[in-house]
Amino acid sequence: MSHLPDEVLARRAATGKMEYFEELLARYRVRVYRLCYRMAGNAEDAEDWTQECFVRVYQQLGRYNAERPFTPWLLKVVSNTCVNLARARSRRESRVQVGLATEEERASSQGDPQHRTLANAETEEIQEALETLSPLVRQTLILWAQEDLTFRELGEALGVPLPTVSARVQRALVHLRERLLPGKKRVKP
Amino acid sequence: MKCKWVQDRMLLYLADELERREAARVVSHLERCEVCTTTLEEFVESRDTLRDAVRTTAQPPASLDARILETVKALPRRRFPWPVRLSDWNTMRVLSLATGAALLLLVGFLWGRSSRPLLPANRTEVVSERPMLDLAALADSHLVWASNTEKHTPDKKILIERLSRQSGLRVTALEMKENALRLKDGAILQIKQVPVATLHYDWKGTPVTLAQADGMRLAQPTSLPEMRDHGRCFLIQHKGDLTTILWCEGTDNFVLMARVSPPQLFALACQFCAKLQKAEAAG
Repeated sequence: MSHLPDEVLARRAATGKMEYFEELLARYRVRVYRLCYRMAGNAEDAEDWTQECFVRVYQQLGRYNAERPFTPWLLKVVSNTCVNLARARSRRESRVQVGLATEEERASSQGDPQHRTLANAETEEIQEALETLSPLVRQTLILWAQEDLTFRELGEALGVPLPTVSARVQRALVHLRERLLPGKKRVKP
Repeated sequence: MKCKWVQDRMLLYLADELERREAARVVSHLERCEVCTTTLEEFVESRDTLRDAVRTTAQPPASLDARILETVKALPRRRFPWPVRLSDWNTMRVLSLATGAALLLLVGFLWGRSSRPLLPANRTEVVSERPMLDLAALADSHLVWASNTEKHTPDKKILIERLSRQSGLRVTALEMKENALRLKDGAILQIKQVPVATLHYDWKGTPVTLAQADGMRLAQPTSLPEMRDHGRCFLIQHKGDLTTILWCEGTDNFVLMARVSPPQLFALACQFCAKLQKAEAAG
């Protein structure tokens, strides 16, 4: 089964064959978790959100067109789910707790020097800065950064035009730059 | 040109995703605008730094998978719509292979009629002695099947697209309706990381490739019966009236399928190998 492309797995999983869904889960668990982690801001919510994302993916497999690439479709489902969860949470809470996330992320990334330098010292600050972005803008930025997508691929995954995607990321970068790199001259796009 | 127009497109410019004309306008503006050049440099710096900062290497706990599966399995079982079930890849593959098999049936039949019997002693046949394969009749039905509504005027692009979609492979079968096909060669291709055996024909001087089957069956040859010819091992599977034969030639793998008996297809494969040997000796 491991040699089958995602599209074939998805089509078979859509017929209710759970073993193919398990393979998809194994392939995408880390990517989806990381997106959820950045969107949720803490490990506990990230787990719940990852679970909710995969449930949505399973429920919507029947609508997936296997003639199209699977990854953008999955990212779109995950993205929509995360944005909805973020909006729902922001209605319930005024602020997200990030303490648990800091410890867990530090523990899980000790072997990554780049991460140590970029994230550990600034995790809380980065997460807080991300929280100040609207869910849509935040999700676009996270997908762009985490998935290393081109703007065109990002637009396809989110179902929005290229200029809109670019504008969202640009806006997010300017905002983060002002918060995280205050010594730098402000960029005025 | 206003600076705002340029600055609105800086990320796209940096990502090399602007259309050529727009990119040229940006470059032209940057050459004479110090403010925008500075802004661009700042964007380069902040873009990479912030992108790295936003990325996370957090790992999900091992228990999460079980939790997700438990939740999904507990969902009320739903019946998926007919289109999903009908478009199952297996169904498409069977349809595709059945067509390829039907073609090979005629190939095998015509070849068997005009060439030497099974396991010829002298297997180094001369290519020029091979019969011209008359596929006209079957090719017509093949085209009708594949083009469906385009029965009388099948569009080549639509045909290729449909065959590719239905088989899940990049099908390059073309122009099968003339009776001037000559088998030239065979090869294995990697398509979507899957080995695909192909036969190469010559059609009026134009090379034509027919994808015979996907190579996924190559992954499970151990359960198949073996037949041997001159030390070469052929693996044969016969299900229903469909026969599959697989073998290796050097580093290449081949698979042929047809609705014929195993001995008939074995003879065809032996002849095919002889042709390859002849080609190697000549090359």
